Amino acid sequence: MVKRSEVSETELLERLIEDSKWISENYEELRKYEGKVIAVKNKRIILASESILDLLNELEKKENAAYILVEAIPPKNASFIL
Amino acid sequence: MVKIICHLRKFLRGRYFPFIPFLFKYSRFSGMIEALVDTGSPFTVLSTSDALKLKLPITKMRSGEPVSVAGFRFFNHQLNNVTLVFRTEDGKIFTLSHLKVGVLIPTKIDKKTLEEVKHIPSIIGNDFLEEHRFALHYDPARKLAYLECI
Repeated sequence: MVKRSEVSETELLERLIEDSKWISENYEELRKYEGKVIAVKNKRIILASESILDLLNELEKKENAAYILVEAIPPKNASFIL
Repeated sequence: MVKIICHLRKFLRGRYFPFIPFLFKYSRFSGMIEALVDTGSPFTVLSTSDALKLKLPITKMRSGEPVSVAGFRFFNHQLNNVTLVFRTEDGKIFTLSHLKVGVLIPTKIDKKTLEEVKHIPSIIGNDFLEEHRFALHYDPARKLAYLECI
């Protein structure tokens, strides 16, 4: 595991932006995870779960979850006004 | 002029929504966040799921103005002295410090509720845009969105 202190803020931000962009560009494909939560690192889904709590617990075993993009994919028919 | 690119994704009902990635820092807590830019929200808030991810002590944060989001009731718990770090279009780091940012803390904290609110994203609201003089340029037809500091 790469420790937070070994990676510069700029590098973290670069990775975040690349992963965020990847999620946006592949969002239609990620629809197969509807209703689930996914963790994305380096443009790869490293974990998926129906439960946010289970995913974070599992993620913490191998990564610092705070520095991984975690995305909940709403069900297709989900509708809410924020 | 500062320009920060948003990423558009079909978040709900096949419609595009603008999301912005940034580093969030508060006290000893920090991490990567993506927030929905929502001009309809008067508040900038961290979602419950992001608060869990950052390991914020949510059970000790049950205070703040009651707010309703997507049909759920929350306390808008205020954090002071928050730092947000963005990357600008030309690759520079843009940091905003000493910010007040809310955290959506469900009025009822149990496993069922935490799972039910997992789809509610963090939000960059009108307060942020106004206080930091950002304009949102949003063109879903061209899949283009960015914040520009006036």
